Amino acid sequence: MKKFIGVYDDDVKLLNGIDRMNEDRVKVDDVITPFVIEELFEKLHIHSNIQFLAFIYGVLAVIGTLAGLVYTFVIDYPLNIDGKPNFSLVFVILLFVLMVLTVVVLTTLTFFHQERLLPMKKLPFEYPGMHVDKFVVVVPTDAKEKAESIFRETGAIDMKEIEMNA
Amino acid sequence: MYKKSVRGELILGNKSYAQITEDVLRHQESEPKWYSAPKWWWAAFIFFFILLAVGLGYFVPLTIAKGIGMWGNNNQNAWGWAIINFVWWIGIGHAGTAFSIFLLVLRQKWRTSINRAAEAMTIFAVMAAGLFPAIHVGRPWDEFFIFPYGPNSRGLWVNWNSPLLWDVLAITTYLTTSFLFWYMGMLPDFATIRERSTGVKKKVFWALSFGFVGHLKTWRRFEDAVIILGGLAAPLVISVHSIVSTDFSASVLPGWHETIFPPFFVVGAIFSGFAMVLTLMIIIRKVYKLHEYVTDDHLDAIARIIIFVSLIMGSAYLIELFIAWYSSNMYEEYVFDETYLTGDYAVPYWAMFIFNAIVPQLFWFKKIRRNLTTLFIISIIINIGMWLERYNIVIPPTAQDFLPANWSEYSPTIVDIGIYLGTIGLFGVGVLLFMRYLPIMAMNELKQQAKRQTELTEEKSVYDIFEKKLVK
Repeated sequence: MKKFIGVYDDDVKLLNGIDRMNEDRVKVDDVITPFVIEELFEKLHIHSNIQFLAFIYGVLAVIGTLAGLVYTFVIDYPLNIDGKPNFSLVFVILLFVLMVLTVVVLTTLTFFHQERLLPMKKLPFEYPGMHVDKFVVVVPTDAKEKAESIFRETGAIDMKEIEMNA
Repeated sequence: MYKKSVRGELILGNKSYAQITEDVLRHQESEPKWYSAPKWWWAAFIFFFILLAVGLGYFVPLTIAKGIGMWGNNNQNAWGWAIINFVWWIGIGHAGTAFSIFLLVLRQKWRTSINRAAEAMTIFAVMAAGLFPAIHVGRPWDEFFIFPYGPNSRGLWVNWNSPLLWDVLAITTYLTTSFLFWYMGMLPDFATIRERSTGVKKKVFWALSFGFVGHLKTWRRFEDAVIILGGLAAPLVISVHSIVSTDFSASVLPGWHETIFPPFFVVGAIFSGFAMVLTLMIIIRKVYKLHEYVTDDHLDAIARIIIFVSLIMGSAYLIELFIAWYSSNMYEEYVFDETYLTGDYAVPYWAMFIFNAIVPQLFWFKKIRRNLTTLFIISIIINIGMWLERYNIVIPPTAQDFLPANWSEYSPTIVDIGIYLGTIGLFGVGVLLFMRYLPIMAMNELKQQAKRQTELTEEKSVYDIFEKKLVK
């Protein structure tokens, strides 16, 4: 898939460039940065559902653990110790610990799954320094002309057409 | 909220993003071969490897082959060095997470230079800790009985009411969470190393980075996932060590049967761990010349936290003594008055008191907080003090309990000592391998910090930013 990229060596210039793209209604497909730039999430309306999913995992984990405890304590092997059923407040501790374990493992797996992360996964493309100090803006090739002038005006150090792996 | 005027510069030298990468990876990239390393590294590695080989390669198999009788445990002291060392290591392991995650959740940006090493420390300390209960059961091949795998051959379930079971589940959860948090945090840095390397090293880091690329969406998900892991691990630290403390306090033994134990253990864990973080960071800063990243301000901040935690420790020791007297329980009073304060265990008790509650008060003096040698020495003293605390908790109450006829003396055997040294070897080897082959600082977070620092330098103060936002 062909894409057009502009490369910045400064995050302030990058943010200016993105502002200009938004003003001129140039679609930005992606921005690849060496570290998190939170302003970009706001400017390009990037959201994730991981926190919501983590909450769902937590609810399911609590229900699952409680069901397991009720089954072992009350249904499968009910014990009556000195007139008390053997189902005490310990479930609070177990619920918490097992909820954490489930949420942590499933959230990590969700992140890996959503990003399709695998050992030796083919990279979309490589640009020298894109994990060090270069900020790569990816736009569709049909917006090349508009993007090119914005990149030039906002101080991009490089721009070119690339072949991007899906 | 990080305020430059309060904390000072967190990264000195006005570093560019490329310089940060260079500085953090310099020690790795300057080595021509994968097996080459500085002489000090090899000397330390050989030393710790010998400890590991002798301790875990000889004394652990000996224990498994001949049984727990090889240890100094006796009828009274069923829990000897193994549990002292278990609690000590798990305490050290807790601070890595406490350091990294509490400061993450509290938005304390000075964590960025130190969190990675602290998290690595956690992993190796928890591995060392986990070894002790594993071999203490005597028959490690039957350990699957501990896990709730289903009704066993007698149709019974595991005892959900037992703190020992909670311990197994809590520590398994803790190790898993700490490892995933640590590994997730390293993905972007593995991608950086992948980009800068060639040949086999590139392939190795390609696999380790799972093909991570800093797409916008990836960063968003990454941030969310990391904060979830961190947010859950923070209360987990508190719950895990509280659970460890219930191994003791759920009993009726004088000296153990105390409601103060859970917070006391948690604070103690953070205390010993912060001391270990201090020890390690002083070494890392010195050998890799990273004083622009681990600044005097960073070490000063850790020392200030240690003063605060030390005061809590001192208060806890005094509360224990007060409650023993106030309860008028003769057994409780005896343990504290006759065993600890003036009796057979007075030396370790007073050493613990001085090392943990009094010596750290030297950090009130700025000169001491700013001197690497004194910081290093006091951090070691605290670690010894915290080991003695666990000794005082485990040994005296069981050695001298209700019936004087049952009293016994406890002394460790060479096997106990060997296994303990073996775990020190395991920890040392792990930390050295981490220092040699993995990114010792979170480069992506340092760059984020450098960006924030530049913004704050450009604006006059943090209040200007708020004002600007309000005007907008």
